[in-house]
Amino acid sequence: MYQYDTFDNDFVRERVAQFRGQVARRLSGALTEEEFKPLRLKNGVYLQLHAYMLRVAVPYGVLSTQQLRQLALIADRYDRGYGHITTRQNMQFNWPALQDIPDVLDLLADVGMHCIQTSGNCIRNVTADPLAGVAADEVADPRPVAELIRQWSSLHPEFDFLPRKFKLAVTGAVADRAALAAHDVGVQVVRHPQTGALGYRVLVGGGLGRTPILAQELRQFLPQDDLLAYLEAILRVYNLAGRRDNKYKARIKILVQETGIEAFSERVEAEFQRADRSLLAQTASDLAVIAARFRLPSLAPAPETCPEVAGLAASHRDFAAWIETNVTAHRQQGYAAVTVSLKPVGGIPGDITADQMRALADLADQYSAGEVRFTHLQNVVLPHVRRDALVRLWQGLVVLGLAAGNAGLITDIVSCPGLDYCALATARSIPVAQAISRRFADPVRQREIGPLAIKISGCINACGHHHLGAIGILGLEKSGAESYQLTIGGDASETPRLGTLLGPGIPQALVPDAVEALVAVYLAQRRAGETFGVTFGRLGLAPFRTAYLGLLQQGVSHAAA
Amino acid sequence: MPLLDHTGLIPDRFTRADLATLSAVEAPLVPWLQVRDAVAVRRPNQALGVAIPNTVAATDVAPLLPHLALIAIDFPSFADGRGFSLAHHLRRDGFQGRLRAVGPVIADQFAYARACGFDEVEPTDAVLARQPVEVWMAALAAISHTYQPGFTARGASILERRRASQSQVGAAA
Amino acid sequence: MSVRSHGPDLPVILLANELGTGAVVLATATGWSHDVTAALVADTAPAAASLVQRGQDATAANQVVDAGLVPVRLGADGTVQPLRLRDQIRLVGPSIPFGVAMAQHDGGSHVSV
Repeated sequence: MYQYDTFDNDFVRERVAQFRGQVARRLSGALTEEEFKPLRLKNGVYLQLHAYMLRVAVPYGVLSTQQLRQLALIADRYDRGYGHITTRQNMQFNWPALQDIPDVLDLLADVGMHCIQTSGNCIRNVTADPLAGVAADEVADPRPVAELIRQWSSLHPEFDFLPRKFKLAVTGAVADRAALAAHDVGVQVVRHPQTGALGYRVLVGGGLGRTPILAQELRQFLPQDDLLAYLEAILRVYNLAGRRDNKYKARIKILVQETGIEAFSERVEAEFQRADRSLLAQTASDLAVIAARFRLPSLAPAPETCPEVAGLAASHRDFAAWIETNVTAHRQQGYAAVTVSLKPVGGIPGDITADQMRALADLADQYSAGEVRFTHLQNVVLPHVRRDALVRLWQGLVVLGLAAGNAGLITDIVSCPGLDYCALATARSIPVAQAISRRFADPVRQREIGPLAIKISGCINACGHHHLGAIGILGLEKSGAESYQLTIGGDASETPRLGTLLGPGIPQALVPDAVEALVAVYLAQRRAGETFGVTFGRLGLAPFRTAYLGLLQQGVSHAAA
Repeated sequence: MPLLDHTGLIPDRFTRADLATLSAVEAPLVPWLQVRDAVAVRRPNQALGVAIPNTVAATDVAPLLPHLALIAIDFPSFADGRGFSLAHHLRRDGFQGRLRAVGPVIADQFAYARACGFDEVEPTDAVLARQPVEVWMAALAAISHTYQPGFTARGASILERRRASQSQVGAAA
Repeated sequence: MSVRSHGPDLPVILLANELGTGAVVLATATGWSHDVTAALVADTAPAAASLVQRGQDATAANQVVDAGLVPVRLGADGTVQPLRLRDQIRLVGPSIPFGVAMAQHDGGSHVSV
């Protein structure tokens, strides 16, 4: 992972000192809440229903075991012994005191971490493919690019008071494991088809929330050296022209939609042409310097096939399931990337206790070259595991209660914190996730159903990415009661698709039944090898809607009876 | 109205005026809609300033730049960062006079404003009452490290300094 | 910063978050408390207006943030229960066991070994 140099360290320390001063001025009243709010948001400090919340940046989801242990220490000392992994690869603490946060920021700075720009109308954490640097299908490791973008976007003097938040994601492969289509700007590392030179495909204008829109291609090929100048051009056009009259129309996706992609592209190109490119055109050189500061593990040769693994898989159903779902090929033979599921049956998606963090850090030191990843599906990845260590790793995870073999399956649910925590929420999401998880707990049944992404948001802001779920669930409030709308057919991959609404909202108690009804249609009608999304694409909405509305009718008559 | 630059509180040599009153003041600061006429009618070496809303395009101001000693850009709220890009455009277009940010700007934006090309800030009385000039100076000093080239002295950004130290290492090797 | 008022629904209490800690507090007859049994219940419009003023004063004094009136029902035994789910959760915390309690509670995940 990236090693801070003295520049990076000094930068973060300065920012901590600045925030310490800002907190002091807030507590004394020199800053009003209205003035302080954008400043604290830019250091990741939210006010939730019953406490502040602190969002720690985990750049492109990568962290060292030292960093993970520090998060555990912070959870114990300043919070209630746990943290939460978000759909943008960050970690959230739900109970810190404002007056303690400067001390927490110092502890984070001690291990090269911070909370800079994890909220507010500024450029947010740059996320990436959780298999970056590990997947065999990559053109190039996108993490140095993500790191360069992170640095370039940190306290950018011109772009810290944007019309709204701005989210970037980076991938290094054609397969999109970072949901580029849902981002304000998506950057895909590509090779020029003729020259073979490395460059970028740039997407713009994606975003979920009240008006979900998929990103469009802005530039098919951008030379490497033009990256920062081009990003500045996009941000400058957005900063000047993005709407500031209506919070729900202020993202760049609305600007692109209202301008049209052609006209928007012309504006960006005009701005780009006038940029002082000589200043920013050293990107390839900057990248090389940053890439050199990535500590890549030296992985000793290891055997690809392991009799021990095959043996246990043959005799032990849960281990076999885990091998099938949670173990992914690594670009180096004999190794694998392992998904540690934070979705135990009936658990809270993405939550992890301090004890679990420390234990996971120990396992990562022993089995994953000291490196850990947070994923936007709210799980953890151990990226460099020898195949001949898989059995021992799994046994270690079993002891921790983190061995669920459900990666990508129906109980691998993505859920925002919802009304149990969040001041923006209109309904609870966690109990819904728990109920669905319990309903589908049977591992045999889960494997029969196969991959099925359920995503739950507790309000229209869509932090649970429900629009991209194969089944999406949106919690709203209707006449003082929680009411849930279901969508179907979403896809977060390089063939992105927004889910389609099934019908009127239903009460919380009916949601697991509704999911059962949709799954039943799929199981009854799927052809061999079809995943849920493919079957939906073939059948269309009708049979699913019929099943859903039928359930509604039953639910109504049960309530009336 | 108070006026600050990196040295602290400074006197304002400009006076808000319009076409009718500009001849009576040393250095008039006129509204945007009157500036073209003001250029025509002012005294030969009279310093002229214009107050522009942050929705004006830099290209519309460009023809006037040689005639202006001051451009004051309005910040309707501290959350509205358009002025930072507008200032950047004006500097890029070659404006060498004074750039002023006017409005409820807060001390924590002072360093950003200077990085984008502003020389001075005219905050509201209410803000200055809560954040006196010492707070503004301290806020300016609080951030000395900038990643981005083009927003600090040439060569002084972290990206440039890191590149430079790397090539020294390369040269020494 | 203005305090949210809540229209004619009565009775109400006043909830806020302590500025320094973020903890939820309620206005009592004499000050602020974390204990809902000490909450000052306003059942007339002037009493509610007085609570609103208390919230504004405490906000201006940098003691609290996000102060607002919360409609409640009074139980026979004098207990105070917010009407809205959101306010109930704000008062007592998340509706599910969380953190260490969740990990111990263990929603039923059993991996057979």
